[in-house]
Amino acid sequence: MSSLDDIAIVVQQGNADTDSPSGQVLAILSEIESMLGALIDSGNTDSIDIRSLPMMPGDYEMLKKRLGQGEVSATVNALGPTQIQETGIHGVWWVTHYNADNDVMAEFIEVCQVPAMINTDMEDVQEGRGELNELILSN
Amino acid sequence: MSKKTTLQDHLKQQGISRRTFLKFCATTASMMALPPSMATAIAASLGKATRPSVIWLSFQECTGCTESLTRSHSPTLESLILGAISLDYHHTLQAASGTAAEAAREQVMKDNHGKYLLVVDGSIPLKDGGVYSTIAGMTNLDMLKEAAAGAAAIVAVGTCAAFGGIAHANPNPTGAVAVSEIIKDKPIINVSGCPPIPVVISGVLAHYLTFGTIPALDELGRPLSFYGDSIHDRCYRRPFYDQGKFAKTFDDAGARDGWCLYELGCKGPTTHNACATTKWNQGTSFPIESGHPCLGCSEPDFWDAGSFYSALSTPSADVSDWAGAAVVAGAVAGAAVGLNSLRKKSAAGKAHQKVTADDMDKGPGA
Repeated sequence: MSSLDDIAIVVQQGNADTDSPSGQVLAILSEIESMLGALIDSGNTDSIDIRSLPMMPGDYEMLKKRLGQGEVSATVNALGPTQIQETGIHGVWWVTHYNADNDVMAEFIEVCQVPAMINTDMEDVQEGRGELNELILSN
Repeated sequence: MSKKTTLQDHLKQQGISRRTFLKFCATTASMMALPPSMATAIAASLGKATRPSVIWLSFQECTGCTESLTRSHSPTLESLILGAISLDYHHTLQAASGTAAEAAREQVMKDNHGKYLLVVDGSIPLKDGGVYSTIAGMTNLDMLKEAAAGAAAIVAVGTCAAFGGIAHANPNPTGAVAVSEIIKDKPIINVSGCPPIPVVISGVLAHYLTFGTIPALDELGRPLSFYGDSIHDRCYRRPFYDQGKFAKTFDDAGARDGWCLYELGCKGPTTHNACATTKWNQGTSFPIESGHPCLGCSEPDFWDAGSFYSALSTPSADVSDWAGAAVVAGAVAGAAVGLNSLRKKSAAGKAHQKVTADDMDKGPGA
């Protein structure tokens, strides 16, 4: 919402650059580590709802900073953009769902090979084939 | 639109793709405070859900609950949810009025008998035959009884409908009571808060829509997914409480460093709600994050539970108990208090005047 953005706010980031991660951030990192273990051992995917976590001011920024940025980023346009970014840790994705006004609707850390939002559903593949066949027949 | 239309049909007609639906389900799971893994289950059941009829009755209330729901950012999941239900009667939002509106309500009740969801905001006055709040000449009490008879379930939105709320506060001139005081034979979901958080209102509706059942409730009839934890348990200032670091005034160094507001009267430890994680105003903040103690608005009788600015550990004795002692000690105490406040005033003049919880208690002019 632009009117809120218009208010000048100085965000104190804590000491994200220099200090070691806070207890909360360390706990989340450990949780992600065990999720990666489950993915390796049994192929189980999992995710964390970031908004369900009580975080100190600066924790969110620190968590994002610690995970870093990987090589894949994608945007899905579905009722507003969804930003999917692989973090610096392979298999750990940062998924942010925005609405059409660019407000964050939900935010997840997903531990998987490919986030479900990117995969094409087989039903959609069949529909796509049908559409392509119609296109070929009509010419 | 036909009421038989499923939500997925409804979304497809609006050109909404599978990915969008997945996103909708993921954000809905987040909104309902469910584990993210539930998104798949939501996708499966929401796809098949039909649009239930909803009747929304507003009784002795301030419309704050409706404001809370409708003033959330748009286009929203809330609006999608509202698109997914068939809101057939809501006298603040509907275009129809007068006899036509009441006739529509009666028609919906007849057509969907036993199946519609009844949403109520506001308390119900019982004193003097319920004359203190009427709609189209009908008392709230009669309208509630009539509408509840054919309802599948009732959602009591806001602290007034859930627990009596402000109107119920001492001395309760209208004899206001909660929905649950009147209706005993229907499942009632209490969505308390003054007002409730918008996503909590729509989250409960989404739960009903998704699973066709009422969610797990606490002993006060509130959905555990939103009211299972206390504000204190989920508060980002909790570590300061554990370390014994408390703000003593609203502008001391502790307050500036974001220390715990317990001593300034925070009711977080006894209040169950989702403010600390869901937050308000598009997730901007919640009262404690803005430096103010929690008032405990989602709890019964929060208005009568002593001062908002007294620490929970302060005994909240009845004023009448104090009256007798005050008369006896009056003459002496009166002089002493006068002297004391004079001394305080001059001290405050010399130093910077801090606003304390006591000052807030005394109200303006303290």
